Amino acid sequence: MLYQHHGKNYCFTGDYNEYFNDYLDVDAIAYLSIANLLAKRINPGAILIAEDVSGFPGLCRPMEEGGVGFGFRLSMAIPDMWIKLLK
Amino acid sequence: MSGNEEKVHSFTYFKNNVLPRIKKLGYKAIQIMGVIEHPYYGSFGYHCSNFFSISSRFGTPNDFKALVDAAHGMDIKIVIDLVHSHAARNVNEGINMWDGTDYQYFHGGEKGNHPLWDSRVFDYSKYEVLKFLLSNIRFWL
Repeated sequence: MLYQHHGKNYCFTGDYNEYFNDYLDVDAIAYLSIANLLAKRINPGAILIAEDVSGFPGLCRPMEEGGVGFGFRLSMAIPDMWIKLLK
Repeated sequence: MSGNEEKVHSFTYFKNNVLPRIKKLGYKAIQIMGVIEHPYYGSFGYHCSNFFSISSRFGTPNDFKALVDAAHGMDIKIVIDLVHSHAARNVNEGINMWDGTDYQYFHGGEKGNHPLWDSRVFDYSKYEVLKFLLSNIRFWL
């Protein structure tokens, strides 16, 4: 939901230009930021985990730093790689 | 929900039979998948249709609450998978085409279809979408 291309036929190597371009769904990023703020307001101890393959920079940084405000990232690319290896 | 037999188990079965074992093994948190109602079992809970209802094949809302309470009583935290990235495309059961249009909660046209997941893509610029999803967070927490 972070990108309008949904990661389809798109490769992330860590270059910032791959993340911050016109494909970014800015409304989705704004929603996630508000969602994390709200969740923390309802329950300050809430564990907020982002499931993200791309490694979006700042996803787990606080909003004051320009981040999206998640506490953790479930890096799905790694378990996906395990499945591939085992197969 | 998982169990010993090859069948779909319930929240209650999990609470009574699996949770004590998880506690005994020393885990401090568990993530439960597919808690939100989803018509297609094979979607593993990712094709959500009714965001404010519990997955009925596993039990009732009270069954789920009892499971959460039992886990908290064992000092085990519960994490659920709240899928706000997309929604089931089912029209009869879900929120797709709820008002007859394809753009009430989603992007209209091809932009509203997820190219890999066979689902509908939310339009997060819509005020009602934000209200819907944010109130959903409040509901589950």
